[in-house]
Amino acid sequence: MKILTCLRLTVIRLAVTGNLFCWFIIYFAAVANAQTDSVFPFNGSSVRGEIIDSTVNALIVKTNTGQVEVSAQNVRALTLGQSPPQVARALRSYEGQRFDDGLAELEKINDPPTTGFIAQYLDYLKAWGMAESALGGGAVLPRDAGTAVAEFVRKHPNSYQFVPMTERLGRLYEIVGQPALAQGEYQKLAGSTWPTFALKGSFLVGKMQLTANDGSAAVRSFEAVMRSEINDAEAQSLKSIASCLNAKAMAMQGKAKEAQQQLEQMIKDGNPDDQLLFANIYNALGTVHLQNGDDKSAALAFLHTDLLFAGQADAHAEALYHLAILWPKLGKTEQAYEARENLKTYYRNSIWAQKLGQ
Amino acid sequence: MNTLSQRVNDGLGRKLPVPGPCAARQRNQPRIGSQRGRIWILFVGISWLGFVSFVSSAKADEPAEAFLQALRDAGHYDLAVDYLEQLQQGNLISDEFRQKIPFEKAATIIQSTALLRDIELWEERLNEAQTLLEQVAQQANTTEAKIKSIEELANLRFRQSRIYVHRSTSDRMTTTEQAAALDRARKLMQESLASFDQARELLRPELESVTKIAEGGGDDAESARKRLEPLRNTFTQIRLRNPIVRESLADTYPAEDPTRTQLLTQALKDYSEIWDKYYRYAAGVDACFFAARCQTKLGKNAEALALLEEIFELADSPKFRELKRSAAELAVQCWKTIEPYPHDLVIAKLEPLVTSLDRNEQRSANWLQLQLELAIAYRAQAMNLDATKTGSPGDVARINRTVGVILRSLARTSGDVRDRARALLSEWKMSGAGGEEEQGAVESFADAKQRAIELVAEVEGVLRELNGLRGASPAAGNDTAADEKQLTEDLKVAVDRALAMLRTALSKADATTSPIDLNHIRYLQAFSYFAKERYFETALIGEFLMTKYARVDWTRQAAGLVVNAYTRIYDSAADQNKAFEKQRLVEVCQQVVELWPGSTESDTAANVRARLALADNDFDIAQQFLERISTNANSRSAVGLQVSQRLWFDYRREKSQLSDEQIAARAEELNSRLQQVREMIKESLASVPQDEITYDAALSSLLLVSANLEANDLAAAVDQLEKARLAPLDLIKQQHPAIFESDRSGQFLREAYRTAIAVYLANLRTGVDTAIWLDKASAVLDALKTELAKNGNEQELIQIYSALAKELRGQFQLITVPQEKENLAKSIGQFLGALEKQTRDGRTLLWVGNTLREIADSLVLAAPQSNHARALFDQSFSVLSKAESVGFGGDDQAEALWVDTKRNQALALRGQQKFEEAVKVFVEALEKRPQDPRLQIEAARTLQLWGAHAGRASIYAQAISGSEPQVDPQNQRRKRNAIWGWRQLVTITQGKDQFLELHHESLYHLLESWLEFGILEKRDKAVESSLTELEKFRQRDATLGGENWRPRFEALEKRIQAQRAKSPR
Repeated sequence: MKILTCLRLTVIRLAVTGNLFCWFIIYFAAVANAQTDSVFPFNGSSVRGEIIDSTVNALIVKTNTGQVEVSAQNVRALTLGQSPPQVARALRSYEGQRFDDGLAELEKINDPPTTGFIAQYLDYLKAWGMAESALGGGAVLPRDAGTAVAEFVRKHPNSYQFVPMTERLGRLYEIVGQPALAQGEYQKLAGSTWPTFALKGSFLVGKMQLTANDGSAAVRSFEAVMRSEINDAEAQSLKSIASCLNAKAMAMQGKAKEAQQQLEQMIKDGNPDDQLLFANIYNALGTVHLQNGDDKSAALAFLHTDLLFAGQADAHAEALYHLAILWPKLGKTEQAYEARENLKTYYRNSIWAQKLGQ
Repeated sequence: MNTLSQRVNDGLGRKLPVPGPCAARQRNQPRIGSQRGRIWILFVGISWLGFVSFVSSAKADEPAEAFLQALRDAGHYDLAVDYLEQLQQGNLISDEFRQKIPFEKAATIIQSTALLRDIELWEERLNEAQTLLEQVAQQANTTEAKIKSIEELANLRFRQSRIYVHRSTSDRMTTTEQAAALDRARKLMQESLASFDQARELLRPELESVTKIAEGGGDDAESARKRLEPLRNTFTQIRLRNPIVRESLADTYPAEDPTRTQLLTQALKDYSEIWDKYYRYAAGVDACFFAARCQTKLGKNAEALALLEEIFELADSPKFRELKRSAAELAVQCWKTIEPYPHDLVIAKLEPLVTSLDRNEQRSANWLQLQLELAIAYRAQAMNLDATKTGSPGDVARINRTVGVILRSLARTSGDVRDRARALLSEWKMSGAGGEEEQGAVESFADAKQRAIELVAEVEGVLRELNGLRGASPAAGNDTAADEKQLTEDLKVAVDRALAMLRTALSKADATTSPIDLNHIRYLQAFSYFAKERYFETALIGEFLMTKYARVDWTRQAAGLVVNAYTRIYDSAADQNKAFEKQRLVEVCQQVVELWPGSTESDTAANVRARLALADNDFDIAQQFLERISTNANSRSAVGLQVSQRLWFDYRREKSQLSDEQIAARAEELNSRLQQVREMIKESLASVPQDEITYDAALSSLLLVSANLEANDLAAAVDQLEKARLAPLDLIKQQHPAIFESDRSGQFLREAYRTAIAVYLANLRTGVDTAIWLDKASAVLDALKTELAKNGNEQELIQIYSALAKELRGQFQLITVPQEKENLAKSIGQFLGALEKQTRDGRTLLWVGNTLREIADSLVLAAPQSNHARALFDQSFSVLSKAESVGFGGDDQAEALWVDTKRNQALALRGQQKFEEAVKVFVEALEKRPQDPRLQIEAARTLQLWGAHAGRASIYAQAISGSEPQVDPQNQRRKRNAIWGWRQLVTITQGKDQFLELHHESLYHLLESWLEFGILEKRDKAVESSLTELEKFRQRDATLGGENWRPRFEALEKRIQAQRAKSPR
């Protein structure tokens, strides 16, 4: 682990699990001990020592008092004793969502380590950056990102980031038009030992079923999500969105009126600060109106997502896709052009942009 | 020692606040700034202020002098010269001022040359002034007069020298001629210098003497002190002119000529001395600036900048603004010569000036160059920060954004700076969306929000300019169209940039973002879409905020946009598709008014809602929302005017549909409504700002006149018509644009004149000041005729006469005092009599005759034995006879008019109880129009009245069965009654809806005639018949003709029953 002693990077990872975008805040550890790594959990005191290994479920840290395992899901942040300066700059770029810049920094590292935790960590940073670049419409091609992430999970099956990276792999399969492979990854996720990710896996499986127009299977998946007894913030958010998508699935099964009422009630009662939820509600409502052949109301619903919840990338891309198709039917060519251009500009690698291009 | 509390004098004897001490001066001595007058401008022309102050100190004929100065200040130099010539010939001024007239004339002429472009005319005028001044100089018998004439001659020579300088550069002259012109210019300048020196030397002992007295403390000290300041001003101004001329003289030499350097050095020395000695005075501050200018001409830019520093340090007062601008322009020249470019210094000096510019100044050519220079300095600063890594990328991006904003603003202006700004935008890649200044990464939500705010501010600026341009005069032509096109493109770019940044801000928002910030972003989004004329998007965002974040900051503003957006959508929607938009607009307005009462947005919403209600004739809602508009809101008066107008029109329409009986029955309610309308109009008029008088306001004022008349409040009607604020006649007299620039001006004038005539004639009822009211009515009638003739609408006069007649009838009915009725009838007789004498127009005469007859009829109703009524009938018949003899030749409706004339003649005869003659006239009319039911009814009625008057059953019989048998033109062997009589009229009108009213009238009179006939002939059968017929009628119509007729039929029935009761069975 000599190489680890060379690292001078302090990284605090704010969100370890679940979220596709893991945000980092970087601290330059001016007083950091060059020999020491630290792991900062969500719950409990920080653990200082040397990260000597990891599993899917834990980081293993050698401390003065012995070996300590920190649950992977409980890792809020970690600091490595030393690091090439490029890593710090790369992470700063990642923090600003400039994944391509971050990747360029990582490329500047001469003789990158090939063994040990640092090697795994650098592989992770690269695969993560490529995935986010591709998913966010950056310079990396989705196929290349998919290859990198697939390679990462193959090479590091014991990475503490294995589960989140599995989800990313599924998303990349989605955007390269491999829904079956994507569903396979999500099913793996559903079977993982991380409860929230398992729930997310079920949710994403339901989404795939919805995309495949399998309404009854999707309803079953979403109902399973909604029945889950996990109730942390992320799980609750997933359950709410699952209820939106469930309404969509119901509409597919010919229960459009009921679905519409359900969604409208959610709009009425819901807290609009939950932007992800609202973006999904409006998209679901738009889809229900489409099922009813009411293009004008559908456009109105999708327009809510476009104008008010543009920060929710996935939902926004979906709304733009529908608007690009709906506006010409309503004689709004300028708006159609804008929707198309925005989709191509901001979400060029999304499945929605690809669908539109087909 | 001078103190900060001292005040300076601007050369006109005015005291001005002293600014704080400047940094440079503080080092050595106390220093106070001084008022910057306009003196330095006179460098290119000639000083006038000092001269004026000097002259002002002399005793003069103040009103004449003040007026003269006012003319000169307004640039009316020709008028000023004319005025002086008139004064010289008249006796209205003092001898002292008369002596000054040649001098004043010369001074005026000299001043006037500042506006001349024609160099020949310039010279000619100055020569004229020179002649005058030489005369003055010869006649000067006091030191004061001598100084004035010398000084003015010096000014004159300087101006003349400018002419020769101008000629020396003319391409049309030979080199020799140019050299000669330059020599002449120099000579004149030397003469000017000598004269200024002479004037100064003459003034010096005077100044010393006054100073001595002022400091002496004697009896004269106080008056001397008062004279001292103006005198010192004059002295410093004269002193200042010497180096001004010398500097100009230097400018006539080439740069390398030692004479030039020598002259400039001398001028600089003089300026510096004046600045040092008189820095409290306007001349001193000017001298500082001029000294700096001399330094730059001598190539000493550092020294020039040190002096200009003094100017920049002057207090931030509008009085110094122009001087500071000039100083900045000079400083820009100096800064450009410094290596490296002192961008921080440039920013420090220009930023306070440029950032305080108002909108007009921003567009003013004088300030454009400085704005450009500031942008260049900012850019240099940003590049330096970037190159030296002394600023964060965020700082650099922020400065670059500022550069972009300034340059884009300049690129939209007209003028030389525009091309340069556009070139720089292109060079620095700031032209379009995603320009270089935006390339810096958006760090956070806060960063994105800040950038978005700046970009939206730019959108707002462009939008304002575009709206200003669209509101500008169409006469501006092609330039405006081109500018509008450019601005429209700029707007599109600016909006797209703003929307892109707002989208970025939304994507940066997370759970920690405050709802207020998020609302702000969404409000800006809504605004940007509004600017893009995408109203649907604006409405969607705003409505979402209203529903979900009603109590969060920025929602109120967004709601205001929603109202405006829906208004635009509603206005542009096709009529058949407006229902949805209207419904949304109504709901949104309601919500806004309820959520934010008293706010600007609520006022707007209430205004819109009230207008919608007005369009639907829903006055209750309109009034309800009018009351929700703040009392101080501008929109309140406009809506108030419309609501009150609609209420008035509603009242009038409803009343016109009522019968006299119905009006009487509802008198209290109608009066109450009328009073309410009057109050509302009054209130809405009171809230119209004086400088925002609109056509609607003028119309409301006119309607209030009518309402006052309707309420029988004659004094209020006259006051509103003539004297009140917004009095219609006063507005017409002013030729107020609210009326005269409206496309409804003709309509307004006609209605105003008609109303005025009605008001004046109504006042005749009092019997007081009759001649005055008649004169006023006649004058207005003349104005009305002129107005109509001017527009070729003479034929409208008759319509107006008809309306007037109706008005008069209404007035007559309102009068309850018999004497007043008599008064009015008599006076109207006079008025119409005068009108009759003036006219030879058949229609007008018919109207006069008809009106006289109607008034007489009304009078008879009130007082059957009225002598006035008889006289009016007589007058009416006479006028109608005149109308008949004049005829209606050429009129399309000649026959109808002739028949109407005959009808009126017959009615006038009937009024005089000349029934037989009346019947004959009816027969004449019926020969032309035998089928005219109205004519037949009047004829039958005449027979009935004749029967009643004569008490002859036989005539009643004619009224019933018809009269005046005539040969039937279709069957010569048969005769038919020309007058049908009531029975035939009843038969003909029965069962015909269009004749229902005539049928009721005919039937009533038939039954009445039967009754009277039965009584006179003592025939019970006739009485019975009348009752039988009445019963039959009741069976046909249980209402007995409805509200209008039932009371009459029932009264008749009672009479019949009473008669039956009298008769033995």
